[in-house]
Amino acid sequence: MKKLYMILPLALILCFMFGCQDKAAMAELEAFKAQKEVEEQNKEIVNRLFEELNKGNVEIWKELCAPEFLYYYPSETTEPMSLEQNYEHFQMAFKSFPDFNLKTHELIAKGDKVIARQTVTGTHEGDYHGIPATGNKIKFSVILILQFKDGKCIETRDEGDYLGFMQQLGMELKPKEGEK
Amino acid sequence: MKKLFMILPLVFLLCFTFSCQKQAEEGITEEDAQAFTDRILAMWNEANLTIVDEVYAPEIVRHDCGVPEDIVGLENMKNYFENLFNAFPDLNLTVDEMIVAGNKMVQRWTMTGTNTGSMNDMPPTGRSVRFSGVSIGHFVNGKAVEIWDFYNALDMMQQLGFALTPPQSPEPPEEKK
Repeated sequence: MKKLYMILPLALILCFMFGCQDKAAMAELEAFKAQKEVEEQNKEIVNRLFEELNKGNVEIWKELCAPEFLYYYPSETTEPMSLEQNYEHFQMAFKSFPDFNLKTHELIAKGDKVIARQTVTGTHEGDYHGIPATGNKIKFSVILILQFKDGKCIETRDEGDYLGFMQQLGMELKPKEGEK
Repeated sequence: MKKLFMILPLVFLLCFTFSCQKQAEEGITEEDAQAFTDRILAMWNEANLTIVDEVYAPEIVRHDCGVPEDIVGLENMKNYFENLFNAFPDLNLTVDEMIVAGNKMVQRWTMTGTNTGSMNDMPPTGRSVRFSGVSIGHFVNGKAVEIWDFYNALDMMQQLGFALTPPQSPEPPEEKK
C-alpha cells in the first residue's frame, strides 16, 4: 500500500508534465472544435435560406443577411448587387417563375464559408427581364459560395449555367450585329 | 502482480494524456491541395498534358455546368484540354480562392486567353476573353476523382463576339406603333 502511495504522486506528476506540453495541442483542438461549431451553424443558416426561398419567402434574404451583404454574379464582378437589389431580383424571379425551386446536391462548410452546388428549376410563367413568358420549364446548375460573419451572411458569389438558362427561355446566341 | 496493479493506472493516465491529441482530418490536406493546385496551374498555363496523369485518377469524371455530357477518363480529359489549348494557345488560369474541407476542394478562378484557334467548329475570332468560374473537386489519395467546373460561358461568348437575341418571330401583320 505504501508503494502505491509513492507511485501515484509520481504518476500524477508525469501526467501533468505531459499534459502541460500538450497545452498547444489542446488549444488547437479547442479552436478546431469551435470552428466546427461555427461551420455547422452556417450550414444550418444556408439550409434555412434555401428552404424559405423554395417557399417563395423572399424576405428571408433580409432576415439572414447583414446590411452590407453583397451578391456577386458573376463571381468576380466589380458591380455586385446590394441586399436590396438582390431582394428585388428574387422578387421578380419568383413572379416570373412561381414554382422556383433550388435542389441542393452538395453542401461544403469551411471556416466562414459555405459552398452549395445546386440545380435551379421553375416554369417561365411571367415576363423575366423583358423576356415574355414562354411556359418553358427551365433547369440549370449553379454553385454558390456564401460567406458569414457573426451568424449573418455577408456575401454570396454565384457561378452557373446562365447561358443555358437564357437559351431555355428562347434566347439565341448569334454573332453580334456588324460582326463577321 | 502488485507491481502490475501499480503501473497500470500510470499507463492508463499516460494514454489518456496522449490521446488528447487532435484527430488527423481525413481527406486532402492543405499541403496536398496546394500541391495539386500548383500542378493544375502548370498544366493549364504551360499546356502540359503529361500533368493530367499526375493530378487526376484514372476514373476521373468531369462535369461541366453548360455541357450535358460528362468527360470520363484520362484520355478524354487530355482531348478536352488539347482542344482548349488549340483554341486559346495563351490560356492562363489564376486561382483567386481555394477552400479545402475533408476530401473536397473548392477553387474560385479566372481564365484569360486569346481565341486564335478553332473551337467546336467555330472559326477563331481573334478576340481575348477573361471570365470567372468555380470548381469543386473530390479527392482520393491526393488525386481528383470527380470535378464540377462551373463558369461564366455567357460572358465568354459575348467577349468572343456573340450576343443573346430573342428568337426570330414573324412580323405581326399591319401593326402600327
